[in-house]
Amino acid sequence: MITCTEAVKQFWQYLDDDLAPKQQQLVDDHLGICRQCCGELEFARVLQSVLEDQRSVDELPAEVRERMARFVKELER
Amino acid sequence: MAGGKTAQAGFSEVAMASLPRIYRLARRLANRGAEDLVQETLMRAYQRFGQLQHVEAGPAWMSAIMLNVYRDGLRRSKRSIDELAFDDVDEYSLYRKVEEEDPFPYSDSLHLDFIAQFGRDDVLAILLAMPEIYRAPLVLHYVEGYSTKEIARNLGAPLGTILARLHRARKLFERDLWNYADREGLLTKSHMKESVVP
Ligand SMILES: [Zn+2]
Repeated sequence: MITCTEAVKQFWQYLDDDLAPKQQQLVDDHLGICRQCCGELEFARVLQSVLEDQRSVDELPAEVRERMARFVKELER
Repeated sequence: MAGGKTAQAGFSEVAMASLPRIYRLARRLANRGAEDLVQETLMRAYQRFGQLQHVEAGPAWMSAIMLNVYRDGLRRSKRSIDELAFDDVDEYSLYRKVEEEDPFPYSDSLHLDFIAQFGRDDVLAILLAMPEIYRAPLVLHYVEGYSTKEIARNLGAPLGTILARLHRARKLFERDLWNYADREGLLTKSHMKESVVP
């Protein structure tokens, strides 16, 4: 058995499928008996999606685009 | 340079098609140095354009080049060794913090309500304010989708170092979310909004 602290420490890697099978089993076992950690795991998932959501931010300003287009033209000369 | 001309004619197309993605990456890696990073990447990509096999792979190819440029920059400036000495951030839990502080006393989905206060720009501001050595693995992994092994290889650091930084980065991110909400009044504002509703 592992403690809550040990389990929580591994949640993000757990969600990434990045744990060794033995570690993953220990986390699974812990989740089976600990409601607090189930909530915390769910929250880690939400935090991941907040980061993934940054992918959809379109933020190339028009003036940067123009400057870079000129730069590329210069490169090609 | 047989075929050089065709290749070069295609370069500006590939470059411009890749620009949104590599600028996004540059901004999150280097913040104010983003345009310089893009320009250095474009120069290097131009020199190596003959190596690009498929035009569709352009944005991914450019991103990989950008990581190389970024890594070389880190080496030159020795920024990579600025590990911060942190108090207890490794053990920080935003989940517990929200529970303890209970900013929305009448909510039955406290944690989701907390996260709902943040817009994309808030999250971006938080990321950009993080120390670079922690921001880089966090962004590369969760925003750009690189595996931890790929990050280690691209940044020229041992996997264990990247994993340790990533762990600390996640904890810093959690702590910064709370501090930002506190500082920017995200919690009190919505609190007031809720108490006005009968
Ligand atoms: Zn637990």
